[in-house]
Amino acid sequence: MGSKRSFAAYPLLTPGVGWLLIFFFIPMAAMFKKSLETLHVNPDYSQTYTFDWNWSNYSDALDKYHEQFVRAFEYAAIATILAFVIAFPLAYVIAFRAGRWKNLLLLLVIAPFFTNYLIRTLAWQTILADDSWVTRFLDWIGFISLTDALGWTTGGHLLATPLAVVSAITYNYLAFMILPLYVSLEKIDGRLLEASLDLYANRVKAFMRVTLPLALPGVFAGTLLTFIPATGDYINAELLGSTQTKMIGNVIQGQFLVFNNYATASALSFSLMAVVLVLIIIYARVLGTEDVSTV
Amino acid sequence: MSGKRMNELEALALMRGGMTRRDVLRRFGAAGGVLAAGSLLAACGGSSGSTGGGPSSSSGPVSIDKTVAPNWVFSNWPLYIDVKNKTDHPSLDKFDKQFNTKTTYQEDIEDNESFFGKVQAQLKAGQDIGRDIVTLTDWMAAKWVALEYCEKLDLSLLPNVEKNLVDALKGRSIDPTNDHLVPWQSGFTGLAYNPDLTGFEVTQVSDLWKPELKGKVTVLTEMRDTLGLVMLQMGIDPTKCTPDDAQKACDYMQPYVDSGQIRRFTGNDYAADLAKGNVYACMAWSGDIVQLQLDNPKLKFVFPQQGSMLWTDNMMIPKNASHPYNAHLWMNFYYQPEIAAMVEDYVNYVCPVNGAKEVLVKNDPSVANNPLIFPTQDSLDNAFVFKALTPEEELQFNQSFQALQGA
Repeated sequence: MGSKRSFAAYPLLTPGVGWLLIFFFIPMAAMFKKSLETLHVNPDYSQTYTFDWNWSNYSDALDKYHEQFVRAFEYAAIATILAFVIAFPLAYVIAFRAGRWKNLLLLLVIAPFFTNYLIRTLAWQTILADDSWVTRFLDWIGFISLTDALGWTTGGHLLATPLAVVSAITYNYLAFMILPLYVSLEKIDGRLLEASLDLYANRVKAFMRVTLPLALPGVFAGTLLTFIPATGDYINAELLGSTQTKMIGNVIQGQFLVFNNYATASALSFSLMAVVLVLIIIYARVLGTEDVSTV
Repeated sequence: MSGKRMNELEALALMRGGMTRRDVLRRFGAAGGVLAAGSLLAACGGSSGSTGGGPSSSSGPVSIDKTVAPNWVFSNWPLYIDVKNKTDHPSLDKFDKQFNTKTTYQEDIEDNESFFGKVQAQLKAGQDIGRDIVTLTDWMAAKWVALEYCEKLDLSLLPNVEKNLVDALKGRSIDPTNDHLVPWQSGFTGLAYNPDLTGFEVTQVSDLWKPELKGKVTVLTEMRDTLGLVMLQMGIDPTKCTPDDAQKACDYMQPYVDSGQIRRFTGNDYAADLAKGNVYACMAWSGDIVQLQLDNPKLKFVFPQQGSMLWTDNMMIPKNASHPYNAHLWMNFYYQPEIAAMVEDYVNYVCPVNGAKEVLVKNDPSVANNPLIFPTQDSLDNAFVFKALTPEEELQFNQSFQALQGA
């Protein structure tokens, strides 16, 4: 009986599998092939590619762009940590302390998504403009001279600096951190906390031993949802950064759209995917959760 | 327009050149700048549709059928012609009436490279691309001429062009036989600055490297514009430069990129930075500054002492176009001073038609006397057109310039 039931389920997978095949596997395979081709520029300005297992696309691209590559992971990691630090208390409050305000607060978390991503990022250009009150206030309290000294900003301005890029990435992906955290915190049975207190745990200990472990799936999902897209992000670095803050996404975008060098662009895209995949596997092992599906 | 890239970022950041004065006033009046530009752009998307008909002319010496076709297609950049009631173009209406034809005006060229990519296969196969005039920037137009992707013009049909084309645009190297391209609009690449913020007069590219401007300076992502201006500063002739020269120019700029003197490389979005005061001085396109000056008259456009770059968008007839006679008629029609003046009163770039200024002096003196729209002989004499690059050169130039930009 059991085998019959599972067999009957397979046709139901057809739409999903078909979708993945057409829009994921085939383009992926095509891009992988492209990443091993050699670009020729013809005398008539046209470009042709020949497939010759050109693995040097990878080594050349990484040799040339390792700086942007490393920077992408650095910015993404900092932004993910910042997002976690900001999101956890917020999700905690919404889940346990918000009472009747819960739905309103959740709505406010999602509200920025009603506005286009580009527009939101462009708005930061105004917020961080050199003579905006934000910049002047931070300058007045001495914050900018501190960040200048740390190398997070240069020349006493916020726009076109690493600080602006990392802040904006944090901002843009914050909701992806808050929502999974909220879901896993919200599910925690309050009786477990009561039980831990009854068993003479203080509040800190109850948090560390009960709340935090139960929230781990949310932490795992939230960090991945933030970190992965952040590594490939180029909008923030493009609009709020400078030459010194280009991430690997900017390089890939330029190679694809400005220089029409699909081979290099594909090689970089695959390198990025490979590194992200390896990091996730390590992360999953370390965090010891395979329980992402419960979120 | 100078071949700037129109990606979604720039589109949102600020509308490229060719915006009409009215639109600018509306934009800055209503939204104070940046965000409204995107919707403006969306509102003026190109129309599709092309006329049918098989190929009529061959690629040999011109012998075109001199009957006016009932309709024809003119492809141009967005917001690059006179506009009335949002969708009417009085100059085209007048043309249609006079010659009893119907012009399909398509604003479907937003980027030289991507437009070329779209039609290249058809041109290569010798097919009609469904357009009778396309308008492309010098370096791209040069490719078309070199590849014979555009028709040789019948100059006997273009007496007004011969009579009224400004001297500066005669005998250009990108069209060696002088019979493929008819300029539509030109523009200067030079420097712009806000004297209140710089505190001194900017006169040349090297002024951008003054320590007090650190982080308050931008240059352009358009390779020919930025390298051209830098080469002129260095005493290299951009009309004859080599890949070595390009590398030298990049090496010259590298320390300023590394030190953060150059805040960033920009497309049109430098205009927003300049208007907001984030940037004190920058490389700029003349047409943009004409627009910005409406909002902030203090902003100045400078022709650098060592020379500025001059670029032109050129009308040309794609190979095997169906209605070449109509295209010739329009080119000749546009080169009447009264018609050029109609267009110029709405477009901020440099008019290539002699006599248009005299017409505008009566109708709209502020435009006629604007040296960025009707430049002085001095500024024209000291303006340079970037040389036409071979494919290998272009690749090398791009590589040097790309490395400088950090991506």
